[in-house]
Amino acid sequence: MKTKTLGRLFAHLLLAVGALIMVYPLLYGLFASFNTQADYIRSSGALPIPPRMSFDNYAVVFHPKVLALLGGTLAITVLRMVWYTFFNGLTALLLGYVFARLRFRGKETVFWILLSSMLVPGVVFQIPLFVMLSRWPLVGGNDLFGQGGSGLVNQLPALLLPGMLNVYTVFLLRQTYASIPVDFEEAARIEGANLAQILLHVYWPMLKPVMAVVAITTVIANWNDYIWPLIVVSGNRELWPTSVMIQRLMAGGLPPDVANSIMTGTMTTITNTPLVLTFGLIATIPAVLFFFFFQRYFIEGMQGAGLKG
Amino acid sequence: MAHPPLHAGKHPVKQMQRRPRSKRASRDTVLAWMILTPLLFYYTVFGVVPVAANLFLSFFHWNGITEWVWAGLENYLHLLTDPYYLQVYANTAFFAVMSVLIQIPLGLLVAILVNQKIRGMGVYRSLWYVPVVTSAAIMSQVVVIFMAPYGGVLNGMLKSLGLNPVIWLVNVDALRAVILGFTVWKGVGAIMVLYLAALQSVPNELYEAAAIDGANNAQQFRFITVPMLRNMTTFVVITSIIGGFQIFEPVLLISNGGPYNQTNVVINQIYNDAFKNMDFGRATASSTLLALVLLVGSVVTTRMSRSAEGNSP
Repeated sequence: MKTKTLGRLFAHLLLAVGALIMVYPLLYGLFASFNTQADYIRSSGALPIPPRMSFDNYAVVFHPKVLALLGGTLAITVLRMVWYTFFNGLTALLLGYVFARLRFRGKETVFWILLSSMLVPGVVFQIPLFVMLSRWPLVGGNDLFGQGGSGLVNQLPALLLPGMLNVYTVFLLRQTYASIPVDFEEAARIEGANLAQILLHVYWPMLKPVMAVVAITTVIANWNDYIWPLIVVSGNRELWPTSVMIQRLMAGGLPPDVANSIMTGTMTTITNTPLVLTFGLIATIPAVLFFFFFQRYFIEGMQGAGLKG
Repeated sequence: MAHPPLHAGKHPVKQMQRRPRSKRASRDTVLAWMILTPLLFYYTVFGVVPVAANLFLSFFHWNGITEWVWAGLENYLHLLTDPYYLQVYANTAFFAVMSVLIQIPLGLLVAILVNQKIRGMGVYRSLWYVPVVTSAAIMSQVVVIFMAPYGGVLNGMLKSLGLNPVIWLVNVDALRAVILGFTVWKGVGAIMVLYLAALQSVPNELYEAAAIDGANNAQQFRFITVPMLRNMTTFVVITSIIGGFQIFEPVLLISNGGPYNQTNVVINQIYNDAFKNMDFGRATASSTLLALVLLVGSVVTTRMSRSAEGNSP
């Protein structure tokens, strides 16, 4: 009995300390965000507890000029979320059905070719894709042979064209279709339903939970996507998604044109640590809240990856 | 994972084919290719062509502007002999192996602990998962702030432990520890959730039966939990190694490979070669090598796991 109590104590201790470490950067950012630069520099200890609440940092973040900057990035990010959720969902809905339900020659070969790309590191795709987009004919000053201009680099399609078909999602949907008894479909078919009707009225209600997982993981993946936008649109500030914009604000400060209209005196954003942390915080809080709200789906999405393999 | 259950439906298909080609089979074929044709076209352009182009370019010298020049195996030979690149590979292997060695046992331990039926475990589970949904790029910038030499969180921590402060950006060991710590912090929650799923799929009857037979907790863990988790462990090891070798954002933003290449990793160097040094041949050869290593690693891990399964009691 005594060892059991001790064991529980140990479990709680380890889990609690770990949990604190997991959220520590967020807590730190939250406390720091209510500090002025001067108060922050004088602070010590594990958390920069503000001696008096200051909203200076939030005044900068919510300044119309900064809001315009962030609003533009948010629009790009949301556009990508909607776009990729729709196309990853649609392609997986169709391909999952093809691979789970239809019988045809070469099915296993095609499926294997698709699946094998899951083992290929992203970088193998990204550099040739960059070259391909930069040589896209007849756009961005390019001629018919893709010479002369910059193609789709620094243009919106570069953020939307690759990755519309997600092999992992296809695999997830195929497994889900396979777990649904075929009788439902047979019954609908006898009553004369066509493929569109079968997908929409027979399967869709049963696929909704999985599609929710797909949507939610796609939203978070897009919110945090950093490398690909950095490669293809780093030269065009108008197209930066939130993750790129906030990282750049944190590392390099506000763009001079914006900073000049807000800041007075010699204060620059780059050395204003509490302001930098406030930017980091406002980019992280939405994802964390989203996670707390839809927790169940995240966990199901992760588990779908391992359990059904 | 590498071999999904593709063969499940094989026998019914064979029976079907013995009969004269049915209406159903031809309808299926037409429908399948109507859907597949446009999607496979897209997949070819954005999936197959890039991989083929990557392999193709790796045999050339190309700066992205002038003509390609045939290089044969020169790019590969350079990568495998230049001490600079060997250092990069050693660093990458260090981060990958160390993060796997720390993350997997820790993730398993936490999964076992939060799987107990004790109040409050759900809260821990959520909090341990929070880093997984944060942005690696933004959190790396926060780490940069934590590394400030004066008044930074990390030096404050050292001070409270009675240790001397460190100039993080020039201290190789300290910098490696920070990058490794960040990787574990960001990744352990995902492993916890995977193990939690595996634990919850173990039938409770097994433990009850073992308890009746007089098995203690340690024996139950050794003879029930460990074997039941084997498939998940294989999956977690493979995905963690694949992910671990692709470590990039924290290195790019925390150390940018420095000081003197001591924390540089493969992907960071690939991007440097492609977009800063304009040496697409070397960059694509490096990507190809990485893909090969990961492919071989996955196959070997799967084989090892299978033979371990055969030898177990």
